[in-house]
Amino acid sequence: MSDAVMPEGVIAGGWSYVIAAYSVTAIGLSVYIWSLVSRSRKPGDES
Amino acid sequence: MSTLHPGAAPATTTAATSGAPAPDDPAARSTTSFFATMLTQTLIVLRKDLLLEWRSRSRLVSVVLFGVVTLLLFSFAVGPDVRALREGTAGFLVLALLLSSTLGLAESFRLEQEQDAVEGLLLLPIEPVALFYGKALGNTIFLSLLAPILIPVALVLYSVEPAWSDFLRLFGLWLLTAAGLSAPGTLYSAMTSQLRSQDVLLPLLLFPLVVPVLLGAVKALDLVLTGDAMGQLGSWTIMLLAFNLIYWSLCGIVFPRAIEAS
Amino acid sequence: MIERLKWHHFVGLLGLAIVVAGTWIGLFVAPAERHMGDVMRIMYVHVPSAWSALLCFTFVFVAAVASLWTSRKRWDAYMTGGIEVGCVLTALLLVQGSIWARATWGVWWDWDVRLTTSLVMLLLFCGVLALRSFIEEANRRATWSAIAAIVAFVDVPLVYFCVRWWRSLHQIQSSPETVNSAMVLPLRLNAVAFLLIAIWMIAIRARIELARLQAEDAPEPEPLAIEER
Repeated sequence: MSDAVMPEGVIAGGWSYVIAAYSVTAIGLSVYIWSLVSRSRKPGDES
Repeated sequence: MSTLHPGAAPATTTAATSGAPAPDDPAARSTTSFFATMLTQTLIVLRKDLLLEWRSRSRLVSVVLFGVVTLLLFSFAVGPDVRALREGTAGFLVLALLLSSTLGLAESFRLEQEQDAVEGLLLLPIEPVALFYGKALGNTIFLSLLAPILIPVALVLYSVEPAWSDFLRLFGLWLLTAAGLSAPGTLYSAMTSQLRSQDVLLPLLLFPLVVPVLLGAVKALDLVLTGDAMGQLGSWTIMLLAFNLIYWSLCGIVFPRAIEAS
Repeated sequence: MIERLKWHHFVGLLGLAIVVAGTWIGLFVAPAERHMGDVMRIMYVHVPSAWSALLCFTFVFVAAVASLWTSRKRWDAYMTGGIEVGCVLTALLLVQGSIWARATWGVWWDWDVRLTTSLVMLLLFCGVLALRSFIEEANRRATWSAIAAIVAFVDVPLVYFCVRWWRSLHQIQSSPETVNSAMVLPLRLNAVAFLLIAIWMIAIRARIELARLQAEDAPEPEPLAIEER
């Protein structure tokens, strides 16, 4: 869409980059949250 | 400032060092005498450090040699390309100063660490702020003493020939860079000197922190060495000065807390 | 204490729900951008990461000042949580920015002001975490890491300013595109969601740290007591 305005300016097929960025973020946050949960379980149900 | 550490009463310190004003002075006079005391105490600490430094000159010599070695290594890293070396001279000089500075800074509190000398220093009627500024000034002087060797060596190795009048500017910028490294360097050296892995921690904390100083110093030195076509040297110098002002005041404010916790 | 901290799970679940909605709208409902095409959709996760990371570090500054002022363990724990979560978000931010740079400029890294400043900021606060891990005495650890965090926070604007000057010799920073109103909704949703998730993570991390700090104080006398018997 809207290819008439700046023909050479449009970046086509950027979906792989979008998917990469979103999955990196999702994986990163999940791993960190998982590490938080496992760490909060570890210290023997603190007082 | 005095509210930060009420334990050390300014009146007693004044009596101990300069002796002149009585404790029941008006407030206006006591602030000026407070600053005068601070200055005296800073100079006392500075004098002590410089004396110690002078008695064991070997440290200065070895740090200078280390700087020369790094300058040599940079030329090997870039290769025998004279043009590339010439263009990078400012950066290499500042990096040599930075790498040498960690050696010098790490040492500045190690001496106090041995036999708990810092405890003795804190028992003396010396304000922690004065201790900081004395140490930081000592480190600045130590690092500026590298300039007379490192700058000529770099100019010869990288075949740069600035005008004679530029040497004063080079030295002035070196002084500003050394001061910008010394203020945070002294603070972090005080904190890391008591830890197991000071060798790792001090550069790890200091290097990202002094990025503004490095950037400003490299730009300004480069403008001096390769010509200042657009007249930007002044603004970079002012920027370096401003960074120095911020670092010296900020580190001076937090240093008493750091040394109290040690 | 646990009862008082229970709220954070609701915040986290709310954040997760909003992030799912925001990402769905950003990926499939919002239109592609005029120049950047679909690559622009990285913005919906990139900008919220940046905002929440900056807010994290601002919170760290407040907590560090409070920790120095009051010497209370709670602030120390919150500060640690803020630094760690901020570092995670900044690391993600850098990866996203790098991917975006590859898609739009053709290089993985450009010495862009924000990219460079974010990297320095990440290194600064990782340094604080490293310093923290090497100090054993609790009081000293709290004071020194608070001081290092304050100094690091003050340094970030200096780095930004300096890099902008440095870069301005090469190119003038192009002003960001005016954002289409259809793109505002997913951006706002994800910004709120990231903020909530960051609060959640900080709360959990602070709770872990607080438990660790209290455990540091508590179990010391026990082996002595056993030995005396």
